Amino acid sequence: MSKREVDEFERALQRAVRGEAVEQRLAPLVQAARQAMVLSEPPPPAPHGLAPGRRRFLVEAARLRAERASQRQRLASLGRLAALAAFAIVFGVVLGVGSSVADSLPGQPLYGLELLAERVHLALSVDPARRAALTLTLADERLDEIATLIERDQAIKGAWVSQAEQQLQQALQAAAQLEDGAAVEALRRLADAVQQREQAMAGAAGELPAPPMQQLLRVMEQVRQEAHAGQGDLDGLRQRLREGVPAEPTMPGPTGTPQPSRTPSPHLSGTARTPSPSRTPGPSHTPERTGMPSASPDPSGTPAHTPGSSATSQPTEPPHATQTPEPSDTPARTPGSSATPQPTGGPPASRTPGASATSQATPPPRASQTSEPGGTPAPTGGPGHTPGPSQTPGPGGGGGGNKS
Amino acid sequence: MTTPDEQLLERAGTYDAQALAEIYDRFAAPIYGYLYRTLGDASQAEDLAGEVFVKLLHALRTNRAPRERLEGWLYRVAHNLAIDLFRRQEKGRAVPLDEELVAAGNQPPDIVEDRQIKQRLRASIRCLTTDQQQVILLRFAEERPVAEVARLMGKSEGAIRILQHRAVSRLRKLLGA
Repeated sequence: MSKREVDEFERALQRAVRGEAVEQRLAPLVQAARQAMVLSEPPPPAPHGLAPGRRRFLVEAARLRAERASQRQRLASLGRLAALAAFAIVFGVVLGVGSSVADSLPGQPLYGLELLAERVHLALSVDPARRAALTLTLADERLDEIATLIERDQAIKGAWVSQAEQQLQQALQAAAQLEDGAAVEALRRLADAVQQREQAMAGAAGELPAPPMQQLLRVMEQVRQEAHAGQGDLDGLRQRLREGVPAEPTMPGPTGTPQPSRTPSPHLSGTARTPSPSRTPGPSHTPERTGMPSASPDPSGTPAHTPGSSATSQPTEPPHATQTPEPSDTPARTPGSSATPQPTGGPPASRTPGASATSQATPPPRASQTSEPGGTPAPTGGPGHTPGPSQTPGPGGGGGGNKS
Repeated sequence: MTTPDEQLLERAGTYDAQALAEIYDRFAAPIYGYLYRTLGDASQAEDLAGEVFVKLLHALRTNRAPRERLEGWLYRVAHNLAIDLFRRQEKGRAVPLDEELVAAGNQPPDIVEDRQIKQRLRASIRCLTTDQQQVILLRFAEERPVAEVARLMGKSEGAIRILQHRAVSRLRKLLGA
């Protein structure tokens, strides 16, 4: 079938419609088309007319219109409901998770999230005052967590204590970096906060706290003392913090009498992160500051030169047997108070806290001194008296007395 | 620039009663005529004509309604409804067509003969493709010009002429002319 055939057929159809003759070869096709035209007669009217159909059509349209309006209302309601539900869910999740995270304790699954959130918060705090306030809050939070764990009779792990210590040190650093006035105020708040926690935790921890707690209490006291010292000598505190040298404990502790729990232990004094020479004189530090007990006799009985702390190095020359202080009286068991006055010329009390605390009651164990402080040696000597080397007569004369 | 059909359809999309009434009043009669010529039954044509417009309402609800050429869309729906009806009738038909026509033999012979011719013609047309059927009905039963058929069917005039030639050639064979 070509285009020409199609066009010829169309022209033949038009001629047939006009009543003209068509080509013979196209006549059958034209005839078929004319047969189809039989159907072209006007259709009879619809049996019921088109009005019922029209009514049905418009009623259906009204129904759909109402349905659409109702659907829109439902959708709007659903939308509002969904928005409300979404808001409630988000609010609930945020509140619930946030609350759970904020209330979590060390060892709990969400505790890591809490620490992370705190770190983010801290990282976003650029204002020094806000940062200092935040570090103080976080330090207090760490102490509060440990206090809660103690109340629940949970064992305190060293890692949790380390976190608290770190937070305390950060709070001290942040406070010291503020302007003078703000720094003093921040240090005061830090000292107050630590003091309150210290008292509560010392009581809750009992007479024999676990080593991690001992360490924490010691660090708390150190930070409190640093904060106190910094209020009076801010530059000194800053200098010490820069150099990593602890402050001299110039202000008395709030608890007065040192607690047995603060007794320095070799384990704690060895920690690098929380050095506290003023509280825990290590064996390697005290010799230079206290001097060797027997190497430089001190006739005045300066307590600072009194040996005997278990934390100090062992004297190379043992003191006289009868004058050796009882172990229970040694400064090692009773760390000295920072308020103890120091003898003139001696090393600072903070450097030898153990010695100054008990020097009044402990006779100096000097071999060259008399057994009774301030007394005159008896010429004849008592039965239990053993004269010192200076009192010994000649090599061959007084040997019997000594032997008896 | 929107055409009147587009404006009418836009209003109909909101189920505007006036627009819908206007559509029905304008197209119901031609659709009924087309269906009658296709089916040869006034009652069925009336029913299906109403159904065509209900289909339009549902198409408007599901956004499947035409954006333009509303008349062509209505004719196509009408034609499809007629084909569906034929198929249903063919499935349920127990009596052969010729016998059915003979059964109506108590009418005047010329009327019976005319009905037989038309029924045979319609049966032959139903053997064509859908497009060919529509071309035959629009072009010869409704005597519409090629251009109008092309507009209603959404095709070019050349395509309608080719369709028409093929449809008539095949119809001639079917009719044995």
